[in-house]
Amino acid sequence: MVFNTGAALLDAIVLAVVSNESEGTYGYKITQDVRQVLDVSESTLYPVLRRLQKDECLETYDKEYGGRNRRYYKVTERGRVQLDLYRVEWKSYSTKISTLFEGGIGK
Amino acid sequence: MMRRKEFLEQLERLLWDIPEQERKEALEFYENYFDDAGEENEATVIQELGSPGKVAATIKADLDENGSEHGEYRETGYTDERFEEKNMPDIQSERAAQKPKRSSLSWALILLLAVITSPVWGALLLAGLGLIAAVVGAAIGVAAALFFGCIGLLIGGVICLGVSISQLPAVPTAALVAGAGLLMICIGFLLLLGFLWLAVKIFPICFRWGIDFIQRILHKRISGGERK
Repeated sequence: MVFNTGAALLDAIVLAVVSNESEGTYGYKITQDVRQVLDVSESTLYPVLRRLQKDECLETYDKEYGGRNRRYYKVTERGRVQLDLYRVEWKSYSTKISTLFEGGIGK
Repeated sequence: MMRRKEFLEQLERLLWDIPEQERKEALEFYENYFDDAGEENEATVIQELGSPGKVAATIKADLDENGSEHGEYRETGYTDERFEEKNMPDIQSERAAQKPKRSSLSWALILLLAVITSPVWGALLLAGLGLIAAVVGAAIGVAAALFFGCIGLLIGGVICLGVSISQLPAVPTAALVAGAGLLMICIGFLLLLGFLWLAVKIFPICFRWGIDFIQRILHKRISGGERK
């Protein structure tokens, strides 16, 4: 991709990916899902998850899986509000840029 | 090839200066990560994560900032100038590599400038060469005039003397021709003296001076180059 992905956009993407799983999802899967749409390095996502967790947008719980504990991430109520905010912001931002690109401004 | 255990141990060591809770969280995350990736993907994951140093730096960067943004998620992934491993040891060699590049660029500019301004300095150069050629040509012309003038006058003088002998019966005519012949021989010798003076004294001096001048220009240019 030519365009840089800022921290806020990455937060929004991670929140969206996690919110798609109502039962929550785990670190490796989140990374793979994000990397399907965005070419970020694998080491990028842990700090994002950790930050969202500290901001109480994500909560974690451990569940047994294959004889070991797996940490799951789930979107909190606060995270959902935040994600909605991001969605609105993104809609407005991307619409404006698209309109500009298609020559719709100033007509 | 680094193994998972080694990778996590190094990461733990590198995270010694962050709070215990943070270190534990991070290590648990990456333990989980390796578990979920599966053993068959271990090498890929390690390669993708990069060095433990890079992972540790990314974690610390986020802790330090507490919201302020220094890094960027670029097309190549997360980039933070402060923690980019590549930048640190390479900075000096990169700078060193830039220097000669810059100077070779300036040489190229100088050359380009020289080519562009060639109509001006080319004309001046040609004018200078023309002037030198004219001076040399004039000198040769003067010398030739003196030399051939002298030869002609000497030959003419000798012939006049011969003719004057054949005119002896008429004394006034013979005396006139002999006088003219002697005069011609005298002027011829004067011209010969002038020519010899030019050829033996003036030309070698001019020649030496010219050589000196060219050498001085060349020498200046060489020593100028050395000063840089």
